[in-house]
Amino acid sequence: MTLFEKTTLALALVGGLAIPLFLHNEPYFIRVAASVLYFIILSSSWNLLLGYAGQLSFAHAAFAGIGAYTSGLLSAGFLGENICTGLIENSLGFVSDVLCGEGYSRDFRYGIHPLIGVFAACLVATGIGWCLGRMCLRTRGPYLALMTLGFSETVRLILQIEHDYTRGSLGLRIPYLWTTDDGLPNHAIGYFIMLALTVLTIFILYRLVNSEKGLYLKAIREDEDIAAVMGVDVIKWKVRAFVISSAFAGLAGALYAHLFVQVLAPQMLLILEMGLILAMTIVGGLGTLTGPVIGAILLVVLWEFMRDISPYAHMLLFATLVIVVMKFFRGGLFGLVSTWLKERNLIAKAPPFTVD
Amino acid sequence: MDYYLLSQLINGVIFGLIYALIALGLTIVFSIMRVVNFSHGEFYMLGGYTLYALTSGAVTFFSIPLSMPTIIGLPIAMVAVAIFAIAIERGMLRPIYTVRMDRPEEYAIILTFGLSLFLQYGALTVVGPYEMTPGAFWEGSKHILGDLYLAGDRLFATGVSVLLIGITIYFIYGTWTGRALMATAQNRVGSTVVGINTVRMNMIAMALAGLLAGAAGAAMAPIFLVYPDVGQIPVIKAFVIIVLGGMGSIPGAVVAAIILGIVESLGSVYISVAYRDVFAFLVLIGVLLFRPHGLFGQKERRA
Repeated sequence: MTLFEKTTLALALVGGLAIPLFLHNEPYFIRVAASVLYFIILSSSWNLLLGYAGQLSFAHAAFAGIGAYTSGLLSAGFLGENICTGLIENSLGFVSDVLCGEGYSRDFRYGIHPLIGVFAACLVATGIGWCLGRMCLRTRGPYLALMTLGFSETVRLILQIEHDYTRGSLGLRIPYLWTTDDGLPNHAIGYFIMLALTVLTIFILYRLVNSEKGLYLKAIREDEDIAAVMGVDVIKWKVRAFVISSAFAGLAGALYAHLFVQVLAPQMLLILEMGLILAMTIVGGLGTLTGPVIGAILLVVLWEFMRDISPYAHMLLFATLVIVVMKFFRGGLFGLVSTWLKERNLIAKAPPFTVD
Repeated sequence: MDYYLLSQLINGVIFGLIYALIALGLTIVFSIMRVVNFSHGEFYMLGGYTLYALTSGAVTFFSIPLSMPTIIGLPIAMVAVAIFAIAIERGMLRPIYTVRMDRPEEYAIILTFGLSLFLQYGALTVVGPYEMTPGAFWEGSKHILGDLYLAGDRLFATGVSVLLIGITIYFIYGTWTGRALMATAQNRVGSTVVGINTVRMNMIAMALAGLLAGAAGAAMAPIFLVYPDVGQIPVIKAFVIIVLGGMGSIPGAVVAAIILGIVESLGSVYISVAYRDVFAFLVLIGVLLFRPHGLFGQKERRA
């Protein structure tokens, strides 16, 4: 890393930490900032799949939704009275009381603690991701894109149909992970948790991408046959990339749901959400770690400004941006900036095709 | 024979033929261009909207409300969508074959996916999320046999599909242009060597896809109505069909569409109506587990 990169990173971190200090009286801005972080996690982890391993999945929003619903259903008492009776109920209630204080366990008495739910969500997303990856990454061709599109619509339909359990489009009310004394969500703490997860995600992705494993993924992206000849187990690493990225999506979806979204609806699995993640990654810059971050910040801010115009205007603009970027500068915004920065030796010049 | 089961089978076949019309264009484009057109569902939507604009009288042309008969609106809608498809091929997909680029498949999928979002949200912005009903093609319900009655529109849509599938198959297998298309699908370089203009073949494939999707959208508009994301579920079913039939296989697409129609029809009777749209995905899982190259597809050759 050059000095410039280090400074930018430090500034970004300080800025991220400082936001709640200045805006702690403005829940709206903190919520927007938190949604920026949510989309940074989603688009960065999706970028691992498309930008580094070259595999296109349309199920990333669905995995976030699966994470949110897994944790939400578990902690909202989906298991219900029939199963959670006696000892289990008492012990769960006790755990919830200890972790969240009184006042928590009134509505969600049969549920497990959201924190356990978040881990369960991560596990479920990982498991489903592994199954789906094993199934459609064996063969080459656009099977993953087709399968994941079908998968995400199917999961959405099932969540809508099984309204006895998920409450369908009525929305599933789920407990907050962290509340203030009056039972409202604590936005500042929620924001810091999201920030921690974002930093963790980007750190893990950075380590992964700049390791030997990252090299395998890039080799698969460039040419699967040659990668296989060079001794990369192509299917194994494609599946691993898919699993890692879906695990992050599940984790982010569940945490964000418990921290900021109180009511889950199947609409969070719409193709539209996937379109947002895709637009952020593409506009920011595919195949770089910085790109999705820039894209997420820029597009969420644009989106907030466009809320007044029309509820559909932002998506129309983002779709246009995706088409323009793909057609004219595939590197995205960061690709444009990085050539300028590279000329001035501000960021590392050669693409890191070697391992330190 | 049990009339109930028979009527369900007929219903399934009818749905299958309608699906086949949507899937056929997708599979032709894939076989020629090696591109999955993610905006195919929006071609379907545009067909429905064009028919509505031409026939309902809601749109005026030099202050004359357009209210032509639906039967004339159908071919105009087909041609309009085909012209749009050609424009998309020229403007967006042509660089895949004329310019050297990295990972063309990724480029095509993202571009068509962006286009699909653009058209959906464009439709939402321009006409709003309302469901619109173009006039019927064939009013009333028709008696088939026993106690089986079918809506006239549904029969009309089936007739249109059978006719268009027949014409397409004749066009592909019976004319020189069709043979050139097949040659391009088999070997691009080889067909360039023998003098086929493969870039033109791309255009013809896209135009064909536009015609078929526009016809499907227009013929189905009186049954399923028209709204901005009307193409979403049909196009996912078309994806399932082309995977089941084998990517790029034309007879495969027709057979797979009828299979899917029957599975859905029987499944929604004997298992659950609500899960009707989920069966397609179960079929997809089955195909990818047991026969990844599909019913009629060829096993991929490793380079």
